[in-house]
Amino acid sequence: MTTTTRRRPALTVTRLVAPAMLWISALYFAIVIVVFAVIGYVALVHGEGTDEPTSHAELLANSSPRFFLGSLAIIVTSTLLAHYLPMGVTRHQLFWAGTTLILGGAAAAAAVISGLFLVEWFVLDGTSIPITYRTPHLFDSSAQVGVIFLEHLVALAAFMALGWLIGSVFARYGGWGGLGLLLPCLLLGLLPEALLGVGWVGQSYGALGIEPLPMAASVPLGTAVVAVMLLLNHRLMRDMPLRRPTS
Amino acid sequence: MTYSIEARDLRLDYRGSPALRGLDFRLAGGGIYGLIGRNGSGKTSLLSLVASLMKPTSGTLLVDGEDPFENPRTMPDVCLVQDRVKDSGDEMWKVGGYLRTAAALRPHWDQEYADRLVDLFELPQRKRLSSLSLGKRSALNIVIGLASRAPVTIFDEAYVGLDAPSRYAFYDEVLSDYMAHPRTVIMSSHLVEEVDSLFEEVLILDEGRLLAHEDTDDLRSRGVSLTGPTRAVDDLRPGLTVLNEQVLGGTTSITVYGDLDEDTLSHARAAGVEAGPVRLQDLFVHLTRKDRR
Repeated sequence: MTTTTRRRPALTVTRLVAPAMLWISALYFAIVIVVFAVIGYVALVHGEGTDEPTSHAELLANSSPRFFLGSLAIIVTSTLLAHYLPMGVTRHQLFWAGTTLILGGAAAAAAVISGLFLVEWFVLDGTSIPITYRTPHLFDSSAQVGVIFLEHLVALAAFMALGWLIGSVFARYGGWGGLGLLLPCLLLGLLPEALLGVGWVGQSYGALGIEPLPMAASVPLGTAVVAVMLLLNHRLMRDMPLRRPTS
Repeated sequence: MTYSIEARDLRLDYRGSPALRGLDFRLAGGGIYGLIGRNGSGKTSLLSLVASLMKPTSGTLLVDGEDPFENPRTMPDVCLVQDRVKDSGDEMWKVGGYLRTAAALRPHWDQEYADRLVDLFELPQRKRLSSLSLGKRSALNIVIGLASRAPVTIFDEAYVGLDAPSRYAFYDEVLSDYMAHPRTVIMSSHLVEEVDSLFEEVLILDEGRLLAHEDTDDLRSRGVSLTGPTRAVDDLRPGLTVLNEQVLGGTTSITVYGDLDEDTLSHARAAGVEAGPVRLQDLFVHLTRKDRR
């Protein structure tokens, strides 16, 4: 019996790759949430009276998730090309599969982080402890779930697109070429967060006396930079050879 | 469904050195084609271009009349099976999942046939690819190649990892499935002896050049094997290009390159020497000998 199910190869590839990425990310988030919950509990019980900012959801969000997800994205190009190009999926279709994985992954992670902010708000709402943050954000309350999601969606998408771009650059130009282009890639990847004026980059604005852009401008501009990184990936992938030992 | 394959002045440079040096050929399709050549002759490079894994440096390549590179119509219909022993991500894949992936992406996939081949090659569906033996990994690749029923099915040295019984089972499957579902099958190898009876046409590559593209029988008729009493065979030998020689007691068998005229053949028969077809392997070795380049 012959199957004829191959209608949307990009979606099929996304559906095939997503579970593995989801499991790895879920395991990672489970570990960091437990670690930060313990840290938050200890700080809550023993840290009364200190001037330390109190939001541990922010501490988590500002740290490893973006680097973890960015690292995960580095293997997207090599994995997609090695496994799905020989199965007859075009690079263009693989680009769309990669884009769906990157944006879907960023959205899922942003949703988890928004949920953590919300949980923290619920926990601390009835106490005398105010929720304070270490770095600037688009939101000023942990109850502003929509804005929290938007900020982290753009920031995480930027880091994942950056990881994907770095992986594509190394796959295309090899070790030395990849190293040579690493700095421009990193600068481009940090640009969305700089435009948003959030995180550690945003914190330096205060010291430098720079006024951050209003959200109505920073979010579209940050999104545009993410789109540029995705398009650069398309440019790199569209005729990338899959070299194998010759005979 | 069969696809033709055509190359015109096809060139590929790899890291600055030419891997393919201006190939010209046309495969009409609907046949089993042999692509033979020594290691590094350009076989995998050529097949990678057909499967759109790489882009030609210059020249034209057409699959079913269209450029195959990034072609969403032809790419799913070209199945290149390579002798991949290890690949990135092998730790992640299980045999069953790998087959389901192929089933989801190959438009002509035949699940019942795939199940039968899995039984034939005794593939363990729950094992990870990384824990498969060389033979089982080759068998898995072959199952995908056959069950994909792609209009262009290419086996690039894909069967050299199999043991002898499995290899012969594979040859039988290729032939019977091709008879039932005609398509363009290309088999690449430098181990010619076992598979040459399958080929309708043969392409011989050497150092990126096409040395020969002929009907298999025509190619075989370029030479002749002579077997008989040693003295009679030795009398025929002067002036002939001998590709191979075997001596057993008082009997000698030589493989000769080039046509023998009817008088010589009559003389040979009269002296008790039998003339027979030449083995493709001997011709291949002769044509790709270093001193002929």
